[in-house]
Amino acid sequence: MAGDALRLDNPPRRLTDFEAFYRRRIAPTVRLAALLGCEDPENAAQEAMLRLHRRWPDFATDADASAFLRRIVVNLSRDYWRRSQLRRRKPRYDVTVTATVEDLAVVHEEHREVLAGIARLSTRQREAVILRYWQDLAEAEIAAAMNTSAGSVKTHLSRAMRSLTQYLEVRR
Amino acid sequence: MTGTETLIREALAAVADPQQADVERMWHEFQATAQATTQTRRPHNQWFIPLAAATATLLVMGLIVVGRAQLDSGRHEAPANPGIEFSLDRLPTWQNGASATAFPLPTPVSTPIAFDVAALTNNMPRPGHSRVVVYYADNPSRLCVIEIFRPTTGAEHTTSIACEGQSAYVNTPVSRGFGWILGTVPPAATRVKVTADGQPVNAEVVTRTGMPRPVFFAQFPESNTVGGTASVRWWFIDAGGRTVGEGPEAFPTTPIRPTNNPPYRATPVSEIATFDLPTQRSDPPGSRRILQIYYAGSSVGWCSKLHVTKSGGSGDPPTAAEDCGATAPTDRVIPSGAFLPASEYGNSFWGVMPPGATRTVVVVTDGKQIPVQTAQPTGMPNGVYAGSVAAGELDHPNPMYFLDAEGRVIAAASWRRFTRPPSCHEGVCTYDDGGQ
Repeated sequence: MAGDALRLDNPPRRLTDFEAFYRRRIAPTVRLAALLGCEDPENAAQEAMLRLHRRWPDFATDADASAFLRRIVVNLSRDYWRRSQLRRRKPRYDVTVTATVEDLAVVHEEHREVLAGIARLSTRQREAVILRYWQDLAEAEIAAAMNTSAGSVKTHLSRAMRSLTQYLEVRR
Repeated sequence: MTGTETLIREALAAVADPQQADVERMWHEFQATAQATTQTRRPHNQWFIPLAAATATLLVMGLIVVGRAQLDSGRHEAPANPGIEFSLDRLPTWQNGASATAFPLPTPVSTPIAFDVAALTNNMPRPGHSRVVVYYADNPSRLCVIEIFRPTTGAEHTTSIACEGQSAYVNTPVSRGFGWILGTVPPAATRVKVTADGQPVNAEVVTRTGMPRPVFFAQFPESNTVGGTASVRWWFIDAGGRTVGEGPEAFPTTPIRPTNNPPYRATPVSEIATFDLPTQRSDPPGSRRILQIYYAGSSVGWCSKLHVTKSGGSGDPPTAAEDCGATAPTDRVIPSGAFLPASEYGNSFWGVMPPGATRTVVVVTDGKQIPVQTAQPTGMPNGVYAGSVAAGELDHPNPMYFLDAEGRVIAAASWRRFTRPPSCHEGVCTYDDGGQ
C-alpha cells in the first residue's frame, strides 16, 4: 500500500506538452486544411490550434486532442465554403513534383484525375474520403470529426467511391 | 484494397504541402497570437463569476421582496414566536464570486425565516455572529438552510447553503451548524423542548407563509457548541401539552463534517502549506490550481484557500475560486473515520493526518495509488495532505492509509462516496450501503 510507486509530487499536466503537440501536429493540420479546400490552410490550422489551446486542459490524451483538432479543421473548412462567394468552385489540388516530370508523368496524370474526381464530390463525401484515405481514420473517428454518425460516414464513403470509380472509368 | 482506393491514397499523398509548413515560424506566430488573445479575451470565468454573483444577489433580493410581500399580506398571522424577520437590512452580501457560484440558491416557495446566532467565540476566530435563514424550496417538502456569517468588522458572507437531500450538512429533519440546530416539527406540534447535555436550551417553533410544516430552531450555550458534539435531545409537544414526537438519544459524537464550515478567511496561526494541484476540467485554460492550508487555531482548526490562477506570472491575481473551508460541495463524500478528507472542491481534496503520520496513500479500486502531497509547516499540530483525482476515480470505497516516516501504517480509513443521498429519519441517516 505504501509502494514505491507513490509519488508525493503530482505528475505534470498536459498543458506543458502543448508545444510538443503543436510542433508534431501543425504540418499535418495545415495539410488537412489544404485538402479540405481551405483558402488559407495555414491560417485555418493556426485558428484550430488556438481553439485547441483554449481547451487543452480538457483533454486526457493526444488522441482526444487530435480528434478535437480534426473536428475544428473540418468545421473551419465548412465555414469557409459556406461563407465563400465562390462556393460553387471546387478545391484545387496541386501535385507535388518530387522527381522528374518525365518519370512520373503517367502517375501524376492519374493523380490529377483522382484529385479532380475528389474535387467534384460533395463536401461531406470529400471530407469522408480525405479523412479515410489520407488520415487513415476509422469510421467512428471520421464520424467524430464530421459530427455525424458512423452510418452516415459509411454512406458518404460508399457513394464517393462509386462516384469516383465512375468518373475515372469515363476518363480512361 | 481496391485499385481506386490505392490511387486515392497516392493522389492525396502527392498533393503539395501548400506552405511546406515552417513549424518554427508558425510556433512563434502562434505564441504571439495566443498571448494577444489571452490578453484581449476575458476568460469565461471572469464573466461567469460576476454574472453568477449578480444572479445570486438578484435571487436573494427576489427572495426577500417576495418574502416581504407575503409577510405584508400575512401580518395578521402574528405567530407566537416569530423569530427574526429576513428583511432588506439583513440582505446577505456575497463577499466574492466564489461564494455565489459555490452556493446556488434554490428557488424559495415559502417566506424565509432568519434566526440570529449570537457570537460564539469558541468557534469563530473573529468576533461576529451568524444568521441562519431557512425556507422551503422547489417543492413544498424541501427545506433549505443558508448560514451567513457577520463579522464585527467587514462584510458579512455566506458560509454554507444546503437543502434536504443535498448534503450531509442538512440531516432531515434536523440541520445543525456551530451552536444551533433546526428542523421540521410534526403537524400537531406547537412547541419544542430541547436539551443539550441534559441542560434545557432556548428553542422556538416558527412558521411562515408557504411552509407546509413549521420549523424549530434552538441555539446552544457556548459551552455546548464545539463541533455540534453536544448530546442533544428534543421533544415535540402539542397544544394540549402532550409529547407527539421526540428526537434521537443523542447526536453522533463525531460530527459528520467537523470542519465543513469554518469561518471564511480565518486568521492563520501556522505557516501556510501550499500545494500545486493538477487543474480540473472546469478551470480556465492556462490556469494553475493552488491549494493553501493553514491552522486557524481554536476549535475552528483547519482552513483552506483554493486559488485558480492564470499562468504567466506570480503576480497574476486569482481568477477563480478562493475558499476557506466553506467550499461546501461535499455532497455524498461521507467520512467514515477520523482524519478523512476534510474538504473537497471539485475533484481536489485535502485533510489532516493523524499525529506522527508523514505520508498519505489513497488507493482507488483498480489498485492504482493517487498521488498525494503532504506538508507540515511550522505551527501546525498535524500534517496535512492534498491531492486531486480524475472524475470517477473515487466512486467506490477507497482505502486511505497514513504512514509514519518508517513507512509503517499508523492509521487506516475508508473514503466513501455515496451514489445516493442519505435517507434520514429523526437525525439518523442511512446510506446506500446500509451503513449509518
